[in-house]
Amino acid sequence: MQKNAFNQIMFTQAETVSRSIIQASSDAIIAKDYGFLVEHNVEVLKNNSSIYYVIVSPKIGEKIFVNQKSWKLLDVMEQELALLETETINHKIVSYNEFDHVYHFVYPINFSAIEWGWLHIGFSTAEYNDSIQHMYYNFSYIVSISFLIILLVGYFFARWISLPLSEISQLATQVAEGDLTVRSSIKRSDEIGILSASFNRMVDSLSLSKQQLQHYNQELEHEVMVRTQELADLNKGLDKKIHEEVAKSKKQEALLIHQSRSAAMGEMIGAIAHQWRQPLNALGIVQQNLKLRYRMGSLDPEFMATNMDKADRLIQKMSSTIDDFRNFFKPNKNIQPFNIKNIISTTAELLDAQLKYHAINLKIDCQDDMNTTGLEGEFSQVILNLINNAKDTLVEHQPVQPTITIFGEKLINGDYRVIVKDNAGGIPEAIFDKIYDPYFSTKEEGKGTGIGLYMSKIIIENNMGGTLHAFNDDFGANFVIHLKNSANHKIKS
Amino acid sequence: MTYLRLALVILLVFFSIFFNVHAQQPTLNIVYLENGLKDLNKVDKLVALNLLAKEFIKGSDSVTSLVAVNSIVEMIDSIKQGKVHYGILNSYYYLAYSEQLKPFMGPDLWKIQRSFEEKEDYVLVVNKNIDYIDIKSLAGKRLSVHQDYLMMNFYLKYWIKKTANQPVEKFFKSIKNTKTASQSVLDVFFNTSDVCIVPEYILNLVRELNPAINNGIKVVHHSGANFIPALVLTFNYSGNAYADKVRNNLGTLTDTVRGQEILNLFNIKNITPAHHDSLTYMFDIFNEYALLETNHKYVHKAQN
Repeated sequence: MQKNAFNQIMFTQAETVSRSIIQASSDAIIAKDYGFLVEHNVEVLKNNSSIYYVIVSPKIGEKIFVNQKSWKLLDVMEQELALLETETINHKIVSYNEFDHVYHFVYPINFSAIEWGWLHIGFSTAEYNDSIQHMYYNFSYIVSISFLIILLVGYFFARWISLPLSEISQLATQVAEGDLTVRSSIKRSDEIGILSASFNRMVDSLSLSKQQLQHYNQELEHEVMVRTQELADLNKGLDKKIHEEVAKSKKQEALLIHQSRSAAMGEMIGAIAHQWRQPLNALGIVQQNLKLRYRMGSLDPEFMATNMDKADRLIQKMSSTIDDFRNFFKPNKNIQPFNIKNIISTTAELLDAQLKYHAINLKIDCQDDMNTTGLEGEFSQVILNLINNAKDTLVEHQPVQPTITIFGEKLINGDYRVIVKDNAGGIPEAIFDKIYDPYFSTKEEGKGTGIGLYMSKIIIENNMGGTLHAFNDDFGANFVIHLKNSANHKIKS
Repeated sequence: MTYLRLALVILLVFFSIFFNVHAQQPTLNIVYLENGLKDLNKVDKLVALNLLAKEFIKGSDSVTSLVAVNSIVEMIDSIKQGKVHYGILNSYYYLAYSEQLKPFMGPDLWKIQRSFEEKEDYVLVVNKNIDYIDIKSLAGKRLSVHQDYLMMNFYLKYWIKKTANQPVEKFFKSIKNTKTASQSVLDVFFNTSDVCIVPEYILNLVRELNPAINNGIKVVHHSGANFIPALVLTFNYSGNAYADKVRNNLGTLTDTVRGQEILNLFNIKNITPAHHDSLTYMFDIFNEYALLETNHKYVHKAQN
């Protein structure tokens, strides 16, 4: 690019000189005042050491060659130079006369569109070459100096900036590894100094933070210890409390059970009352019949025997009812195998009188081989509760042909399912979720305790490892007891 | 305020001393008559003249004041006013105004040499095609001459007058004033002119540049080496305390490279002391020409 620039400079310079010569010599050229042309060009060469020669080449006539030392007339132009005589400016590097590497410039001389001839000027390329060489030298010099300067600057830069940065970096690494005793000793008024001071402040801050952290840690540990102790104490207390609560709960449960039993007992007493009413009536009739016959004097041993048998049967029935109820309320302490159908039947018998009183039809459809293990008393309590509830709801809703059906079946996997269903219309959706809540009852106040289903669920699910759930069908409520086969479950005591 | 006044006073005292000292420096006044000495362009000439003037008073504490004037009348006026110590002028002007100048002149006189010869020999050069017999055979020819060479022009005028009894303007068909003396030789070579008159050293220079020129020209007349082209005159000598210094400086001008370079600016080879006697020939032909002129007038008048 520089070379092109120099070429351009040479071209411009040559053009300027040519124009200057032609302008100064125009009159002489037109008047063919060759003396002036020679003299003028001699003067030009004298004042421009970079011009080797000037050739004034008219189209017709001799050419005048002028150089630094002499001038002469040329008959013909050299072929190489003659080829440059065209309508346009031409230039070429030639060797001419005793000159080598001459920048030969040819400028056409035109006056009023008349081609008069050409002006040839031979410029020294020494200056150009010197300039190029100078340029190269300068370039090399500048590059070398720049390189040296860069090296020096880099060296001092490294020492001045990189070293302190490296030192700070190392210190930072040490700090990162946990050593907070290190500090930067760099004290400068520039950015490095600021960095160093900031680093030291940072480490101070970290150290302080660490101390604070350690202090907090100690405090925390102490606090944790204290809290742990408290927790341990609390735990101990909690265990005790839990035990107490469990005991309380058990007591509560026991109370509930007791309440349930009591409620059931209350129910039972009602049932007993119902059960005994008829036999007592019957006994009353037997007694009156005996009394009447005696008064009439027609009391014979056969009549006596018949009525005494009747009375015995009635008393026996009443006694068996007592036994049944007593057995029902006798708490079972041991888990024993029992037959589900038997418990259902026995329990249903207890309520037979009540059911008949209310014209409730009880159907029991239970498989015989449904044997399980548990506390049969509690199971019978559940059955009693379910039947009682069904009875109560049937009494309340008075459906046509009130019926309680008890299904009992053995499932394919060996488990047992007992369904106590009624046709009283079903459990209202609004209370469906609450039926197992303790003390929840739909009966009038004083009529129900609300713990029957709660206890039934406790007994079946907690104590017997089964499930108790309810659903409505088109007719009424269905309470489903699902018991696992005694070989597949453990009974909770 | 007191300090300000003190500062002003100090400044005033300083400047007054400075200017006073400067004013007290002696000044050598040099006048340069441009006509007849136009070898340089105007800008270079002023620079060169100042350099030359400084050489005059080199080594002294004086300063020079150099003035270039366009006319001899102006120069004479300055001389008459006592303002001029040295005058540089073409010899022709000295010849023409010697009566007015002599009363003011000092003893020192220097001649300016444009060649290595102390005096110049003017040669008449004609184209080789010219059939020269004598000066009269040049009548009606084309003349090229550098008219700034006043002595040379005067000599031609004198010789034509003397031999052909005609003024130069009428003798030749045309007179072309060439920019340089050497160009007039080239005009003759290129047949732009038929004849020229140049100092012989000029012809030699031209020949040096192109020896082939000899094939196109021939020298037909020599004036003889009798002419001094320019002079350095001293005036108001009594007021010149540095005359000795200047004399010495001019005498040793060519001894130094600087001195030579300064002279080269004027195309001068040397400035050497001259005796008034060395001007005798010039004065003789000047007077002879005057006489010829006067006689011609009488004859012309008589004829009419």
